[in-house]
Amino acid sequence: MNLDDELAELMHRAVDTLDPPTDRLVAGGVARGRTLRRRRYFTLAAEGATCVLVLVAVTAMTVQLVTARTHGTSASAGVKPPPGTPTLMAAPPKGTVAVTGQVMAQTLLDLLPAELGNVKVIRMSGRSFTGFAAAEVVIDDGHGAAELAISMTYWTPNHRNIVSAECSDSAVSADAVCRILSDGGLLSTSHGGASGSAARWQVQLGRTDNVQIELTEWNAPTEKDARPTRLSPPLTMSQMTTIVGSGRWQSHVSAALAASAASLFPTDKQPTPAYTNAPPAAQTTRPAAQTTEPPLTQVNEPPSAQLSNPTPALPSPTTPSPLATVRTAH
Amino acid sequence: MREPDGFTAFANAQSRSLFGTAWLLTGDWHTSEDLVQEALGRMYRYWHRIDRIENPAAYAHTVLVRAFLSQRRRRSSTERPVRDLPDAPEREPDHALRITLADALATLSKRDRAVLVLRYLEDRSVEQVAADLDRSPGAIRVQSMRALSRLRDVLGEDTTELVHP
Repeated sequence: MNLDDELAELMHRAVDTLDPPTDRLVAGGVARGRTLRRRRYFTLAAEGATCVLVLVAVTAMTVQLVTARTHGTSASAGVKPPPGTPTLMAAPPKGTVAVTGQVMAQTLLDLLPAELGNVKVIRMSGRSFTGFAAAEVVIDDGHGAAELAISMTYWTPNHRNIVSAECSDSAVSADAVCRILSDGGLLSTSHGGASGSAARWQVQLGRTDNVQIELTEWNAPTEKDARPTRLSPPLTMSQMTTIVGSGRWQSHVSAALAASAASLFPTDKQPTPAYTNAPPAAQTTRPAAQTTEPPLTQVNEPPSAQLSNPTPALPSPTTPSPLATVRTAH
Repeated sequence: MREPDGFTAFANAQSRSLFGTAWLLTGDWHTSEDLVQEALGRMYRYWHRIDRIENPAAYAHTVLVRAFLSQRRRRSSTERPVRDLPDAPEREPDHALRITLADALATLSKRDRAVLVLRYLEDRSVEQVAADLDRSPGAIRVQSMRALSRLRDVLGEDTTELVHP
């Protein structure tokens, strides 16, 4: 026989009758692609943050040298620049520290809408490093365990340009919407999930201070390889939008807050046993909100309908909410 | 984020042939699924620049083969013989051929396997395969001949029954 001639036919006959699950392959490919894109964004953000730190260091050294020459002293003596000396980056407020994964988790729990009623926190984890902080929280409001993931990323101008270009692109798929807010921020929402797998809803807010807040939720306790535990994720798109729009998402928080949140779970390790924001008498649940409305069991309105008229409330009553008046990008 | 234009249609159209290539490379159903998803994910990531690629379908297969080679390098310690049968429904099962061919391919090195799959299943020229795998055409020819010889030893002289049952 001539294998050189027949190998192609053998191979084709061997694989042509395979019937792979194309839906699962496509959905998995999209999910994998999104992860790769997100990593690229984070890399850009981290690179940008590193550049800023280097510039800050160089500027600080230059200021010290110039000041030392002006005052005839050594830079190593730690002479402070004269009052009013411009700096590249405002120093963190006194008594604050960089936000941690634990603070992200605590803040997310604090911002959960009262309409959820009793919320049991099953597990938490999180991490933070330069330019990035994130937390994952699995909650159960009595209708099934669900994972929530929150992250804060510092955008670089380059990153912002990329996202702005995508946001301003008129070609938006059926399950994703991107809007430019009245203050110039970018609000991106998507709801997806492969048939038979967990639903994945996501809201991203790119603020004008180059901070991106991203909230993702599933109707399952883990992001991957988990069966849905409920019809829909626990939060509506409007509620997610309200959460990411909160002014509590800050790159620096009070040292006291960071210290109090530090006990929630070890950094970069598996979460500690169940946490609750309930009073000591009810250690495993959060108190129900004072409301006559029943806890949400499913989203009654399609996400697209919610997004067409978002009315979230921002924490500062004196500042007009950029989320209250949105315009669709063209 | 929004779905890139045309990606889903592309992925739907290519996933079956990508899976076939992956299956010949790995001989394992689940590993093939992972490999196809990884390749599609990489295509998704660069989809905004897809217009610069002359043949996206062929490029996707190259991405898959490269992903296979890199993954197998990382996971060489856990590599296992390929005897897993597909656990999903098939249109016209041809188990004998499939098992025989998978067993034979499993005796080859991962790179030899990749060369044969690109040359014979994908019908690519030696020069194309050389470019895809960052090797010289001469090296690809040697690999191809060596791999064919090895396959011939494993499959035996007469494969007529496999080809024309």
